[in-house]
Amino acid sequence: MKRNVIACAAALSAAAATLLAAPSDAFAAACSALTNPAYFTGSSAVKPLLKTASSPLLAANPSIQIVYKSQGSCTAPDAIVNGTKITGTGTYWDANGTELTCDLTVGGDTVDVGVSDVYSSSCNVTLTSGQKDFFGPVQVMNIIAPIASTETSISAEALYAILGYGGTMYQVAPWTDVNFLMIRNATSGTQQMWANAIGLPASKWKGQDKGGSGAVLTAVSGSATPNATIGILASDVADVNRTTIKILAYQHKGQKCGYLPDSSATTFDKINVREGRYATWGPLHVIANVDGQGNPSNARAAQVVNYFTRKGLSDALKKTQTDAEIAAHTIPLCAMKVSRTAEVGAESSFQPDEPCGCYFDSKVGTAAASCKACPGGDTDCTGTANTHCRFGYCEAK
Amino acid sequence: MKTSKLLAPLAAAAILLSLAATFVACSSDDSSTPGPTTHDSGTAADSSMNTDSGVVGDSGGMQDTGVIDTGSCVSDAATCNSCYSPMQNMQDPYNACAPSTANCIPFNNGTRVPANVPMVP
Repeated sequence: MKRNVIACAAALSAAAATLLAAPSDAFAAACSALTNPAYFTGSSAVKPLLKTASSPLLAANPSIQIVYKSQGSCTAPDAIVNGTKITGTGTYWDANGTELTCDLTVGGDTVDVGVSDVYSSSCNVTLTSGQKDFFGPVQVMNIIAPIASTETSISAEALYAILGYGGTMYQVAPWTDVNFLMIRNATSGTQQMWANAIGLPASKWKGQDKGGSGAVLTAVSGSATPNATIGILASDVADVNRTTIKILAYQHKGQKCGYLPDSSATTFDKINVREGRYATWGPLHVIANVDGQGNPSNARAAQVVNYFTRKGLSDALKKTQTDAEIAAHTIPLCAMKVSRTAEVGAESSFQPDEPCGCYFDSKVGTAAASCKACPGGDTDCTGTANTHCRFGYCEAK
Repeated sequence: MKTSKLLAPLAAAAILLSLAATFVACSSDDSSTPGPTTHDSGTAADSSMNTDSGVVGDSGGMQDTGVIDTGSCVSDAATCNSCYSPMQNMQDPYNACAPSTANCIPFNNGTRVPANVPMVP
């Protein structure tokens, strides 16, 4: 009897020790046990936006918990069109914005919402009448270099030679070593968008496939040969790491000058994107299965899509979602002055139904002198060209 | 009918056509176009600014963009086209002048990119 007790105690101790030594992920909660989980997959670049968008959705009624599997933009349309499930570990955020992980179902979980930085056609996937691409905020793609690089600008023509030949020939100094070209692969929306911009198919790029936005950031910021190093990164990741990386001005084909997305290297106004001088941008593509009327066919997806499109939201919730998109360094569609309908396609003048340009400016810096505050509502805008008060500023509509 | 009476409408039409052509050619020079002081970047104005550098489209697989006719107007800015009318600004926003054009950073394809880069196989 005594020997049995000792043996049991030893076994329990060993089990406890094993438990304590195991990584915390091994004990992550089941994602399915979370309250009303909505499963997302796609772009790795969209992660900061999902983090900020998670909070208003958690506070919504009914509450929605985003569970996200980062795999690259082109997995998004595949998951929705072909029903490809997600497995392994999901990421989610609590009400404080703390990132946590959970275990996806062993057999896989069906994706409610696909999130891609590029059109499905860029991924060679065709949406049917049973799926729809809803537009979210604008994501901006950048060419980045280590902060110590002395380079400041690059062109479409240079990128074509650099990334197409990897420094083996047709060299463009100082980017002549394939080991310092930090890229992704053909499933990446960031790479697909740049591929469209410079006319070099994503599958033909030469460089180091870093697998995700975080790894590109690490490789570029930590490079020991800063001038030779470049990488590709979306603004929502790049903008919060400007102490270790710099964004190069980009001169699109046909342009006489290279432009930063912002008016300067120290601002966040995205004015050159919003007014159409910076070429490499596109709306976030929020993809869901839809019914015959074109509405998301499951309730969780519908609620998520409505937050991004603002459909049926109160003014307060519109502002909350707009704030979330701005906080993630994306551009709400209401702050854009140009639009496009194809990947890095022609731009045309755009007047949002409910413009928010002045509010955007005020959130990322200072509202322009032409922006009139309207703390008293529409009546403060009377007699001006901009007659509607939106988020505290008089706007055209 | 006298010849002068026959020619009068023709002359009037010619004058109107001439005026219209002049208006089209110079309409981009209107006051709504940002002045050169906002985007000169310290670069002297030159007469080549309305033409591309010759390297655009030289990289295999890339297509040149169309050129918007600004008539006889000559841009007084090196990095954007100050001749554009507001409508032309929207047709080619990439080269439209704006206050933030002052901070743009040219990349010299002519000196930094090899000529005639072939299409990547």
